[in-house]
Amino acid sequence: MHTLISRTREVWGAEGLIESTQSDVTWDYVKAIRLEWLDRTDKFYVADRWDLFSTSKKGKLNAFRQALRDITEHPDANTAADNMPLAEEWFMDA
Amino acid sequence: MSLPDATRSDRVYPLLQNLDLENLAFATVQGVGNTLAIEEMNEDELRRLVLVNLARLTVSGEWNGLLTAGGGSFNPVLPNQAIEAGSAADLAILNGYPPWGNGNNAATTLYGTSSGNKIYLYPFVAPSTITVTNLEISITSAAASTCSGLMAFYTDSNGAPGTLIGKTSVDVTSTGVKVLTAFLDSTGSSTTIDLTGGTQYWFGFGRDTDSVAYSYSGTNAYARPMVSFASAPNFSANQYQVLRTISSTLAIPASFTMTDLEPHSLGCMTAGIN
Repeated sequence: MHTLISRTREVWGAEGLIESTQSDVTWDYVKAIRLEWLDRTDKFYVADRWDLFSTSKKGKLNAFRQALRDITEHPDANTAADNMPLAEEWFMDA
Repeated sequence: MSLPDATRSDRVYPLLQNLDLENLAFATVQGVGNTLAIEEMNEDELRRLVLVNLARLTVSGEWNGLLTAGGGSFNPVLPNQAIEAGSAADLAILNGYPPWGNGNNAATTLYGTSSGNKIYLYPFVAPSTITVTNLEISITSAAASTCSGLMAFYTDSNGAPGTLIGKTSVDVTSTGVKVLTAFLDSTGSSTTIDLTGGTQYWFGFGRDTDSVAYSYSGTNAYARPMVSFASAPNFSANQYQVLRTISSTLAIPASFTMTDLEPHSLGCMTAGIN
């Protein structure tokens, strides 16, 4: 499963991990990632491709896209980023 | 023997006759040519003037003037500074700029099988002269067990990876941006990554653990230029976007042999430097 947005920012030096912080993100950034993944997964809905999917795959794809659409219901961009749905490995084929 | 059917030189050769090419200054050539009118009657002298100056440039190994006059001064400047006031956009994305890069950034997985136990390489042109302070990568899907990602900078050797400049590694069992600030040379000693703007280098990446997959932000293999010759014109569209070692390796090598490299399709790990 792929993380669409991770706010974790780790700085590593010669002795290992120096610090780990959470970066702030903007709504513009969250929306850009959302749009990118809605665009990418649009291709799965072409009829000849869609028809090949199992019911389980169709459900995962629909749930993923619905979670992306609902992302703006979170109170702020950081919370939205932390609640981005995870992308299935096979979504990468889009 | 003089130019065919040429008239006797009454300016260029008489004025320059006591000079040899090594000691002929361009200003002297200019002085000889400045009073020549551009007309058919002077064609022989104009030819001689060009001939003498070309010979002078050849002897001194100085080609700048010729290249400039011929249009060779076209020199695109790659993005090399933050252009938004107060912006945090201060990373040069090595796999994002011409001539080798593109901006199609997407998650890419390094295979969870032994076939991924290799070092993958792509070329880039340094956008500026820089000593790398930070190398930033993004892990989008964590390794399921202990694993470090390997990253390295190499010189270019006639269009192929050369020798190691410096390497680093980082734990990839968690997602997020990894900022790497320490680099080692081939002996394991601390070193710096010094890049010269406009010079071609290679970035290498891999892992230190057998068959452990992880995913990273990377530029899409389908939208990248080819990095090697092809064996035939009817190749697959995404076959030549990175080089990789043929032999398995879970460590960064100091250099490569051409017979141990092959073209491959894999998204290039997005590497930002500043």
